[in-house]
Amino acid sequence: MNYLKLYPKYFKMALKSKLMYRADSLIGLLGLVCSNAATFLTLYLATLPVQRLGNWEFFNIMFLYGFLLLPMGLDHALTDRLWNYAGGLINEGELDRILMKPLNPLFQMCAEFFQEGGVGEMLLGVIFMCVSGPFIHLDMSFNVVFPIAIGALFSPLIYFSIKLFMMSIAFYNGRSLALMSGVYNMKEFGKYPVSIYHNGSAVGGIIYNLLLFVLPFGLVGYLPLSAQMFPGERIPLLWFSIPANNYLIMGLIIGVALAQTVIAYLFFLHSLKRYSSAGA
Amino acid sequence: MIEVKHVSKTFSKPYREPGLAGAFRTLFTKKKIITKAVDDISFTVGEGEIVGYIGSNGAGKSTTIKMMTGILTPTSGEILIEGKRPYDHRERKTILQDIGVVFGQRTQLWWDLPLRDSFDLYRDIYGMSQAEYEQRLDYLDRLLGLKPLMLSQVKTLSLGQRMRADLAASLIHNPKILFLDEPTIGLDVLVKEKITEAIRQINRDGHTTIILTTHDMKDIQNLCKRLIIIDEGHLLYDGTLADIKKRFGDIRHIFVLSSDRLDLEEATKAFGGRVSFVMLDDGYLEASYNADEIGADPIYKFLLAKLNVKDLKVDETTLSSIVRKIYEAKSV
Amino acid sequence: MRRNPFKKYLGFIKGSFLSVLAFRIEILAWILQDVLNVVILVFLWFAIYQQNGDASINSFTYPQMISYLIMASLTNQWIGNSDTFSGVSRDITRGDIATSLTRPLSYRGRYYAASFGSLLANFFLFFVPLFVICQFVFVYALGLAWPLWYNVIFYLLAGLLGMTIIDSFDFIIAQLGFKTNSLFGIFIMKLALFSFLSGAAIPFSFFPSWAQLFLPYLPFGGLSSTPLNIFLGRFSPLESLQWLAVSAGWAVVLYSLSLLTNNLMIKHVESVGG
Repeated sequence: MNYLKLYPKYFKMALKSKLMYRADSLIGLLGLVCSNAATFLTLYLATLPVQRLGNWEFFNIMFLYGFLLLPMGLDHALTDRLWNYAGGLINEGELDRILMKPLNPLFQMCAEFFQEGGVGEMLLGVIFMCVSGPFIHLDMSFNVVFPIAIGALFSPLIYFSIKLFMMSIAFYNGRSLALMSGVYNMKEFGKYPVSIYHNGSAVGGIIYNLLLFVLPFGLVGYLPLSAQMFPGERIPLLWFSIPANNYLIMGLIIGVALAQTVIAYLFFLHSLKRYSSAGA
Repeated sequence: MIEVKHVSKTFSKPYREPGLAGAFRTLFTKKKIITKAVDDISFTVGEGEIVGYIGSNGAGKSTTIKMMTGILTPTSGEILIEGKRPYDHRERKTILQDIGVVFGQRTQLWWDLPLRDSFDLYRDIYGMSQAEYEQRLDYLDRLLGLKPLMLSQVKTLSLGQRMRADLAASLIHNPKILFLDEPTIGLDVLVKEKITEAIRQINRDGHTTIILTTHDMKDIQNLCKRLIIIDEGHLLYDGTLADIKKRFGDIRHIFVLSSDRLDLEEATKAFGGRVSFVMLDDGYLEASYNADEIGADPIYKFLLAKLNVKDLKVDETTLSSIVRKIYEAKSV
Repeated sequence: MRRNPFKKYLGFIKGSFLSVLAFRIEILAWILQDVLNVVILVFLWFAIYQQNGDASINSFTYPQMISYLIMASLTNQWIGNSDTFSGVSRDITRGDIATSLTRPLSYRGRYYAASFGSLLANFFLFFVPLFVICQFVFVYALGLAWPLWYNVIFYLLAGLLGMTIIDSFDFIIAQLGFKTNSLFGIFIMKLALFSFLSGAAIPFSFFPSWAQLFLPYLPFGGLSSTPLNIFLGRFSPLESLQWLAVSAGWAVVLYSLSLLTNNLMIKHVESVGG
């Protein structure tokens, strides 16, 4: 089963389906753009009086936000169907249709659908980065840009693995939408420079480490950009700190992304088995 | 080819009470409802057979089909398709290449896209060569008249057209076994005939094994030589149509319309219970009898003598009445 | 014996109430999410205030800011949880409108009744206990004063008006389902816009001065800014009443608009057919 050849075909079909309804797709795209824009505007108004948060000036924050939207948007565009499954599609027999084919079910669940909003998010991200880029000190040397880019390629897996894991819970109760949404929403934490959580309080410390390891949204944007913008500083991690080395961080991102994906996938397979023994 | 051995399936669901008090109570209890959907069913289907699988709603039909297609795993017992278990995730990959499924109430096609796109994708999923694919499409077009539908969006197709398309889609890869779950539901008579004829042809041409679940007795009579009847999870009957008639007798019906009324008790007594008389809702009187036990002649004579007959109809064995009888008897 | 014309709507209130009960676990999960969001905000604003030397920003001290945001979240819990949008859009996409119209009920009315039932259930099951806990946090951890009794009453009133406003908006916007299939996009847009423009995400005093001239007079203010400011005692009683009047005005306008669209929709359905 040549998935590499098959995926573009599925993708074309999903895209075609969306293009059949151009107006609706545009609305969907705008919807997500609005949502992100509103969040960002709120951030803007909140930081307007103070102009900065610790080391991070406003334009650094904006760049971070934009940078984050790229992997987030990509994952959103390609794996959005998982939300529908968590929301009860499983019960409606959609899964039967998928299990009938000699193809990996997860592949089918994701490949059949394209979320245009994700593209909107990516575009917004590019805009944010372009607007704020000129105002901050950006090290564009190869040794910085290359590891960041590679890390960014693996980061969508971080969002994906968390979604997959939470969706698989739906195989047990039928619906895991609320829970899934709750956990996934923690990504909102990652939209702000994570350093704000590292303020000395115990809770903050927990959240800080949570965001870097367990639900590593902080890994996607904060860590690599921290190293980028403030080289030389050490970044606190658990009970020690690591040098702001770009390659080290890239390795961390790749490692965590792959590990989480493997765990989530195994859980998915396990839950699928349970579905077939417990039934709809 | 298909072996079902002592298969059972139980489901457990959490119990939710209705009403306000019940809603509060459910907060504290963890009661579960256990349903035995399928109870110790066994049968074998050979290559090239067309088997009709009958049962009322909730009898366990879809559950068995789901187990045979590997969607559900039996709680106990075993199902083997060509020696492999379809619900075992290692063994099923090869089986899936050889089976086709049509769900009457749901479509396997891409809703928003022209029909052709769905077929093209199936070609790629099943790894067919372009030559094979074209050949197959031609064959299916001759069988089901697909060419005029190819460019239409699936959602614009009528139910009949969509059913034909779904049937074709399930056959693109030339499967050895075809599962049809209520394929003619909601279709008008003409389309039904076309589809049943297509199914018969497929079985003839490709020696395809076909398992058909349906409520429609006419379908069964037209297509299947063999019947399996299931009720409340139990296998009630497994045999040929001819056998079932022999077993339950050649039941025939005479329908009479008359302005006169017949004393039903008196009439039943007159024939010693060998003929049953029932007044139907549409005003007709139905006289049912077993042709092995009694001839039609005395019944005609009796009716014509007693009543001023306005209309008279005769019907042969209705499968549904036999099936009804089987349900009533609950064991065969 | 004269029948109470509103009795038939009682069924919808009750039904909605029971639904909330049935989905309590899900709702708890959503509440948890809200709590997490508040936690993010606590940290964010802590960092911001720290940056500012802990002084007041735009007439809010740090404790006041936190209490504002927490109350915003709690208020949304009981005001903003109506099924109207998803219910109406579902009816439209499934073509169920026609069947709903055969019942001897106002289509608009029954959704409003259902929203009211939802409000009651959410209020008593979730808001009240959470509110009590938060109130203690406000007074003992944040050092704020206890709310004044008349402010609490005004707050509740403002909340009810706010619910009417948002329910009517939901109803009207859901009708776009006739024109487009992407209700999800519209839903997200609506959520983002309302949260931002109602003062739930950030108080009006943070907006640029030109915006502050008209923002409070928009209907959205009645959803969060008005009830919150009233509750936190930032308005004098007279001001509270004035803003309540604005809210009430919008509630009337929007409900009437929703009735209008309701009738238009009925006409449309009768000619086209669901």
